[in-house]
Formats: sequence, C-alpha cells, structure tokens
Amino acid sequence: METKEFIVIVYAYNQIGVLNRITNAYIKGNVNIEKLNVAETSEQGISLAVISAVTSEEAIRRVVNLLNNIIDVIEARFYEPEDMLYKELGIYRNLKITV
Amino acid sequence: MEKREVKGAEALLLSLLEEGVDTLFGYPGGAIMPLYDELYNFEGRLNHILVRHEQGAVHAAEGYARATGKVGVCFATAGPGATNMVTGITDAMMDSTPLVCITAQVTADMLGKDFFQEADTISITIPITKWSYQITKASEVMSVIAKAFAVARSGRPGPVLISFTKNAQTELTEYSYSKQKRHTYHKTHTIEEAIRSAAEMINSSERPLIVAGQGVIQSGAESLLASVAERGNLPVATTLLGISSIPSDHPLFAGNVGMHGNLAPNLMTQECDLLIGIGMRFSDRVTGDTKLYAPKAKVIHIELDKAEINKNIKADLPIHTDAKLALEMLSERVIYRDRVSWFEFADRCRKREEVEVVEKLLSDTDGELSMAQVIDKVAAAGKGEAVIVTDVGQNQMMAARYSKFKHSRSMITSGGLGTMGFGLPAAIGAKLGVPHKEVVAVTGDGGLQMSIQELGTIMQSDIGVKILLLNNSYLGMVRQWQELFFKHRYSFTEMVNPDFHKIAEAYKIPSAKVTHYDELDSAISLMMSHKGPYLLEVVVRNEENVFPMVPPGASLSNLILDEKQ
Ligand SMILES: Cc1ncc(C[n+]2csc(CCOP(=O)(O)OP(=O)(O)O)c2C)c(N)n1
Repeated sequence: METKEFIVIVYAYNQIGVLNRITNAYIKGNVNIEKLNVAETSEQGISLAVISAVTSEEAIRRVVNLLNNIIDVIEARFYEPEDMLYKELGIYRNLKITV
Repeated sequence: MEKREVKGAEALLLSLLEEGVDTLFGYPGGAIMPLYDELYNFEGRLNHILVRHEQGAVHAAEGYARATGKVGVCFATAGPGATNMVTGITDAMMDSTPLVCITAQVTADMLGKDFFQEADTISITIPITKWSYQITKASEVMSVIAKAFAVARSGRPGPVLISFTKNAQTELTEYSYSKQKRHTYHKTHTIEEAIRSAAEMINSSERPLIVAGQGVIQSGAESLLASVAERGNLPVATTLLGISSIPSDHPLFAGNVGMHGNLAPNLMTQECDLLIGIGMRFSDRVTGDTKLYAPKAKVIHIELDKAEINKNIKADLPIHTDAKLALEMLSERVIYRDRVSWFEFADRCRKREEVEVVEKLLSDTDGELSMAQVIDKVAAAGKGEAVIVTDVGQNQMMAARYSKFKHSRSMITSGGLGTMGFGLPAAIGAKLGVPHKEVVAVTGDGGLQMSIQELGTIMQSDIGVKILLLNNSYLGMVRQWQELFFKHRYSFTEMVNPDFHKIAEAYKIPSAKVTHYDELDSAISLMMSHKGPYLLEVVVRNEENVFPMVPPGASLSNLILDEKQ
C-alpha cells in the first residue's frame, strides 16, 4: 500500500486525558506519529494538535474517524503537506504559540 | 431550584436519581466507602445489588441496559475493583452498551504517588470507554454525571467511566442538577437525497436483502423495520446483535447471517443485487472474507457511527444517520414488488437447512442429547416471550439458531468481544430490568465457571433467573475448531467438572440434571414454572459441532453443513 505523509489537524477541548485519547487513536490504527505539536488556540479552553505521520490514506482515514469519535474532540481532518500551505495556513494565526 | 449543601457522594446519588436510575450493581472497598456510606441512606430509592466480582457488576449492568434500553450503572472501588471491571467495560464498548461505571480513586492530593490501591483507571480505560472523567472536586459531580449519561446513551451508545476521588466524595457542594439533552437526528438535505436514491435502488432491485443490526433496536426502529420490509416486500436478515429486532415468525424474516447463521440469509447475501445494512458494522463474523462478500450486490449502509462506514465493506450508498430516521423516511418511498423467484430461492435454502441440519438434530431422540434439541424445547416452552441471555461458545450459537423471539431486546449476548462469563451476570441484570419476564441464561460448563460466584448474588438478592447449563465437558467451541481445523488435536479443551447440583444446592438454588430425551420436556416445564432461581443441567453430546459454519476467513459461499464437507 502506498504510504506518504499526512498531517492531521485536531481541535479539542483542553482537558486532562484528551491528548492521551488522541494518541490512542494512532495506537489503535497502528500508525506511528512522526511529529506532534499542541498549543492552545486564541479561544480559551480549545487546543489545536498538528500531528504528522507517514502511512496510507486508508489508515489515516481510519485514525481520523476514531479521532472524530472522541467526545472532547471538536473536529479532526487530514491533509497532505501540500494542501497545508495553501488551505490551512489560517489556523496558525489562531495560535498563541506557533507550532 | 433550591440549592443545598451536600457531600459529593450524596450529590452523585441524587444525580443518579435525576437520571432515572433505580438499580445499580457494585462491590465496595476502601476508597469508595464514603459513597457506600451515603448509599445506606438511599434504601428504597436505589436498589444496589451486591455482586461477587466487579466483572459481574459490569455484565449485570450490561444485561440491565440491553433488556431495558436504559443506561446500566455499576460501582467499584479503586485499584483492583476498577481493574476487575476492564473486561466488562471492553465488552460494553464492543457491543455499544450504554453504561456509567463509577470507580473510586484515592484522594486527589495523593494521585500519582502509588498510594494504597491507586491504579491509573483513566489511562487503563481510555481505549475501552466512549468517554471518561476523573472527578477531583465535589462541585464537578452534577455536571459530570449529566454529561456521562448524555454521552453513554446518545449517538452510538457506549460505556463511560467516572473516577471519583475520595476527597470529592466527602467534600461539600451546592446541589443543583440539570440534565443534558439527548442528541436527536434531523432530516438534512444530504440525507433526503440519499434516501431518495436508496428508495430508487430498493424499488428497482430484483433481489434485495436487509441486514438489520443492533442499531435498529437501539434507535427504537423495530416496528419501522417491519413496516418498511412489508411495504417493499423485502426479506430481512439479522446479525447476532440484531436478533429480536424483528419477530422470528415474521414471514419476511430470513434468519441470521454470519459464521453460524442460517443458510438462506448467508447465501442470499452472496446472490442479492442489493444489500441494505441497517445499524450494523459488517463485522468479520458477519462477512467472512470481505473480498468475496456480497459479490453481486450494491451496498446501502445506514449507520450513525461514521467510523463504521466504509471500514469493512465499501458502501455504494452510505447514509450517515440513525436507523429510525432513515427507516421513517424510507417507509414513505418504498413500493411493493413480487420478487417471486427471489423468495423461492430463500425457501429452497431454508428447506435445505431444515432437512440437512435441523431435522437431523431434532429427530434423533434415542442417542445423546443435542444442544439444538434443548434450545428448541426451551423456545417452545418460552413461547417467544422469554429473554434469552447467553454465554459464549457453542451454547451461544445454538441459542441464537434455535431460540424464537416475539419481542425486541429479548436476545442478550456478547457479540463483539465474545466474553465467556458474560451470561450469568448479564442474566441477573436483565431479570432485574424486566422482572415480569422469564429470563433464561444459556451457558456452557466452561463459561458458567468463569462467573459461577454470581450464584451468590442470585442467592442473596433472590433473583429469579433460570440457568440452562449445556454441559458437554468440553470447551466446546474451541474443541470444534480443533476437530475441524487442527486435526482433532484436543489440546486442553477437556473439562473435568464439579457436581453442579451440589454447587447449586450450596447456594440454595433448586436444580435438576437431565441426560435423556424423554426427561427433557418435564424438566424444562418444571424449570419454567418454578418461581425463583433454578438451574437445569443438561448433559449433551461431548463432540457436537455447530453447523452451518462459515470457516474462519472463508467466503459465505463456502459454508459447510457438516463435518464431511
Ligand atoms: C474469557 C474468554 N476466554 C476464552 C475464550 C475462548 N473461547 C471461546 S468459546 C470457548 C469455549 C466455551 O466452552 P463452554 O463454556 O463449555 O461452552 P461450549 O462452547 O461448550 O458451549 C472458549 C474457551 C473466550 N471467548 N472468552
């Protein structure tokens, strides 16, 4: 199966254990995390995680579905690095700390 | 609402009452003592059932939830109490059973110091809960419990774990409760479009097959399922957890799909031109080899958990909503078609199974008993009114094959996890949930001994469950696989068993043992007419196999009907 880098953007309520649940979705999907950055957004109590992994599209879809089922996750989506630059640059501006 | 100061423990129990809880299952210990002390004041309002092992508390809560449709609640202390719950919680996660499990925790100040009986329950249960939260302040109790119940029962239901630190149990807080609303499903433009396409596909299909799962039961769509099927003249098969979503004697009921399902719906899966999965997840036990599954069919998948869509089987038309809304919308659009040759095909399959499997087993009245004969007779005695709770293994598959159901929520079984030891405690919970119904726990000799201590719960709380022990002196299902796929090498599957009659007697539970066909009828009617708990042990063939069977990893087309195949 073809593998490549996928970047997953997760918005979540900033609570104890939520990061544990997020990384658990990767464990369940058997996908290794290459990079992980988390920071609070300009909206108080809401964090943003940017997670990069090299895997197949099928596997990353499964992980993202699991992420979206986490009660304290507001939204998770995946991108390829090229999409990122153009479409999602906006999200960085929401961050207090740049990732 | 008037506010008053109460202890966190009292706030929690009051919150449970607000959520409509009347029964809970639990086991006390050090860290949970303040909560149990408060529970002492709730006699008459909360019926606490003292189990004999925390795994039993979770299974009992599962049985209660599955029989009633309400959220099951269980209590355990910190550390070993909480870790003993892990199997039960995993079972509930796999089978989407709504639970709120409350485990105590050491005082918040001591967290992380390996205090006596500290276990990191939150981390341990992350992969097996829909949501979890550690309450460290009494003021959090009300909102957390409200969220716990809302999460457990909304969407695709599941277990929630609340870890309740000792200090939060004893601290004071102002009590005021407001319930969280349940998520409801709405018609959206996308769903309307999809339903329109689905109706077109159904109306033009020559050979449709509905496969109904537990989602139909959980959304309360049973009568809609029957009415859509009747309007469109569509055959309905059920998954293991979908059993009883449509009455067994419904003319459009085609049987159960899957590894030990019926011949007709399995072969219909392979022949159909349209497969409509409703509230189900295409588990490997249902599909066999996914590459060879339903090869001639377009697939419509109605499912509210988006993660299930396109996970195992690619859907030509995914409809991401709950079964009830989808069926409601479909019922206005499906039109009747005869499909004579399709129903003839189903009939031929049904007759073939009748002759080659069922009659062969049921008609042999001289030899050793078949599990099929026992379940068939219990089904006749129960007249489709009884709730059947099974353990895991051959007894489970035979119960699924030969039981008859008139009402929804009357088949309770561990599907996803296949947890031996589930049957007896789950039957206890089911009986407490629906006390006016007959509840029969069908179990094997292996599975019964995995939670046999719950006989003590039955004795102490006088719970009128009927225990049907199908004793083959083997771990039968594993032995079957050894016979069929491991060259008859019976590696550690033979069981040397205790005298179950003496065990029942020690627990003051009346019992009987049957070995011959001619004793069966009277023994079963004695059990069914007995008020209060009863154990009937039936000695069945040692080396019986459950057929039909789709061998593991094979296509549904390659199912086998006997050992010779
Ligand atoms: C907790 C647990 N351990 C092991 C298994 C594997 N297993 C599945 S069926 C089975 C045999 C069950 O034997 P028994 O309870 O006697 O029932 P039978 O199949 O004979 O009806 C075993 C060991 C399981 N499902 N659950």
